[in-house]
Amino acid sequence: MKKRLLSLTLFFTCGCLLLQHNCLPARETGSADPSHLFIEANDAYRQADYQTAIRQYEQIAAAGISNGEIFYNLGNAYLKSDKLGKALLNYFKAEMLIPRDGDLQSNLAYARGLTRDKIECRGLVPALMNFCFWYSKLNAAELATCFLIMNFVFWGVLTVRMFYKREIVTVIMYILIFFTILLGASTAVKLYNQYFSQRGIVTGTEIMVRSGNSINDTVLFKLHEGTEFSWQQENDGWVKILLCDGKKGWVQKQVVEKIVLTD
Amino acid sequence: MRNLKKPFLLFIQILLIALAAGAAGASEITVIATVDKNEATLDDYIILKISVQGTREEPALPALPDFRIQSRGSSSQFRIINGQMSSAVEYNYILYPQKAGTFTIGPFAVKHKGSKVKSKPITVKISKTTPQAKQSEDIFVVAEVDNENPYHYEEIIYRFKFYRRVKVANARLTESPAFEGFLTEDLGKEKEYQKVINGQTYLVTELRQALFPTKTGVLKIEPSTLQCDVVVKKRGRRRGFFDDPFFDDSFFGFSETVPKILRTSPITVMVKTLPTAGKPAGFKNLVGEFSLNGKLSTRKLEVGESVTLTLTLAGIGNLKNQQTLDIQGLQNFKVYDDKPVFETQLKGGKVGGKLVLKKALVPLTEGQLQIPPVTVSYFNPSSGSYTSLKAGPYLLDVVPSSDDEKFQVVESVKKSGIKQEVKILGHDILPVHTSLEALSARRLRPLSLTAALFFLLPVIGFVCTFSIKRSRERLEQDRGLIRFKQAHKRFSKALPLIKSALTQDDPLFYQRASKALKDFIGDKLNIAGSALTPKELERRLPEYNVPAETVKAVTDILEFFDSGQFGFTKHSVEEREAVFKSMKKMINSLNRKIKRK
Repeated sequence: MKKRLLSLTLFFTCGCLLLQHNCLPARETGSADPSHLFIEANDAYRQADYQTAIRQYEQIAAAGISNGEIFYNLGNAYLKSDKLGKALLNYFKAEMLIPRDGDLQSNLAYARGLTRDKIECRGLVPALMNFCFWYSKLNAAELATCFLIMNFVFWGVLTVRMFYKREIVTVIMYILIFFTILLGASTAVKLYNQYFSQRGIVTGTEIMVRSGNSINDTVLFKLHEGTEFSWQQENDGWVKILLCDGKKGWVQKQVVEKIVLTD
Repeated sequence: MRNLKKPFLLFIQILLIALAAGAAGASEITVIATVDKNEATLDDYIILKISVQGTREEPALPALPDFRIQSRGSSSQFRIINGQMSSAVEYNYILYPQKAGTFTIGPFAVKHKGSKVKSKPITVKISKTTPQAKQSEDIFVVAEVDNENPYHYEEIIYRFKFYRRVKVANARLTESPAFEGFLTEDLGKEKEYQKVINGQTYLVTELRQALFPTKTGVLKIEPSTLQCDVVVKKRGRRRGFFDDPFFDDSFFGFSETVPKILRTSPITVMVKTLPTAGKPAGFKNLVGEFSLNGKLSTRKLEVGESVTLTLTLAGIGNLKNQQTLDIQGLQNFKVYDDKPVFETQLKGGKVGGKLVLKKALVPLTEGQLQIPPVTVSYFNPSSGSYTSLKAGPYLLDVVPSSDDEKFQVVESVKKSGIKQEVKILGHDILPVHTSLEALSARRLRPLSLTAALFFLLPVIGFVCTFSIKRSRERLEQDRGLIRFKQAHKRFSKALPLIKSALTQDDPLFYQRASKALKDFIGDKLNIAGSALTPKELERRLPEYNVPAETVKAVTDILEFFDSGQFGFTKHSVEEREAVFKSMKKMINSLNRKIKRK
């Protein structure tokens, strides 16, 4: 009797917490009215006042509305201001949140086409990304939802199996284990990449990549705005970068940015 | 070891002397220029050799505007004659004459220690080519056109002929004219035939190309150059048995090959403009001889059905200039042009072809409709006049449509027929998202308490279900436990019956109450309850940590029921009620206090 009561209490507590959490906006948006700012920023963009648009979109993003559309609009404004690196940075952030948005994909492809550095990527990662379509087509929240649903169904089937031990239920259970683990791992990797990303982008127009973290070190090669790289290590205002074709070097931190969401 | 030392020292001495002599000799610089012949024709070439002795400096070539110069590399020679060492480098050039006349080649100078060493100049005489001179040779090339004075766009044939009456090997065209100002059309593979000139039989290889001048005025066709190796017999060798053409091959060593470069003369073509007098309207620079045929697929059809008009323009000339054929003044029809089919044909050694154009015509009204004639104009160079060709007119009997669906079918074909590829006219990004939906942040945050709870909820549910199931299974397996757990429940079930007998003077009250109490204690202690006596209770209950006063109360109540049941004493209803209430209290107390062992 006591156990049942405990279960019920837990259930109701969880339910109440869920209701409380899910029905409220993700974060309070501060004192400035984001809707007003958003409309003003859109108007500024339409009137080709891209600097104002950038400032206002940045304000909205800084207020905590970590939203794909805001990053997309910000990317557009930066691109119109000829800041390709910043534009791509925001498009990549938007891609983390609205990966299936057609406009975003179109503009991202356009912006990528404007980059000057041609780097031939090695390795299996691009091919693997194409194969794991769910990873690239769903954002972290959608992946997490799928995982939670699958997790719910899995435990449900496991509970049913306690009373209804048939072979078909066991088979379903194994299939569900597979998908639950797959989705769980995908969500974990996605979240890791989203919040602890090791990807970076060149935001300076033309940057020198040196052999060490000092201005006196040899210039190994040059990179241009919008080039993506792997963020290896940080040291005293310098970042060690790795290009996907294997080239390595050090660049000053102020000319690059990490592609990461701050939630 | 001693034996070897003497010759080694001697060798070193000789080498030093030789080098000293060589150094003395090297101070003399000479430049000698020679040519293989001083008289040549425009079809010939002159081999120029400049031998520089005493230095490796390359001689500077003076400007030779009357010759085209081709370098043939250099060779080095090193000699020791009477202790005098000399080194020489020979530079070879081929000079192709461009003009007839007498020319001076050189002097050629080499810079050495601030001074210039010059060769003697050479005088060469270049004369124009005479056909007799050509034909007296064993091997020569000729380039010609069949008409040096064509009209604009008139087809002319360029022929390159390679004559030979000796064996040659490795023949290859090293230079071909660019045919600037001409459209060219290949006339197939080379032809090989024999020709007799001045009683000498020559083997001739002929290459042909059709040329269409696209400019008027003077057009020049540059010379073609052919390189080959001529097989010649070695002199002073008597072959006897081997005097057979089979052994002419240099492989057997009875002959040798001499490289030869043959060059054609440049050709000048004077292209006439087409006469303006009589030039028809819509003339599309079609020059040659052509014919036009038209064929209609049917003469009778319904409104909405299509009829195919096949127009065939064939002949010799620049047919590619005519890509379409228009029907001027066509009314009451919709016209859909098929892709033109062009077929190149060779007729009488000239290039021509056939252009087939199909037009689908859909009548829009009924009645007797006329397709106006299709006209094509061309210039005939042989007659020097313009000619107009005509196909049609054609009369069509168009009857009303019997089936509306047919018209629909034609319409659908029309729609697919006018599709065009989308042309990209500019590049830009797509606009910003303006919907205020963009500001809504109602989404599951994966790293939130909500997500964690969603994750844990089914696990908790499973664990609860599992534990409930396990406890039930345990209950089912343990009879004593079931009795222990259900003791109070069974007692509660018996209460209404006891209560019903309470108010009546019924011995059943005592019986039922006694049984319920004994059963409860029996269930709790997992023993047979009906056989329990107060004395046994006094012994057993303390084992379950039941306080002595509770044990006494239990035995008192039990004795009360026994006295009433077996008729020792009579109790009032109030007494019975009081005992009943105290029994209920005591049972609740016992239910809490008795723990299962």
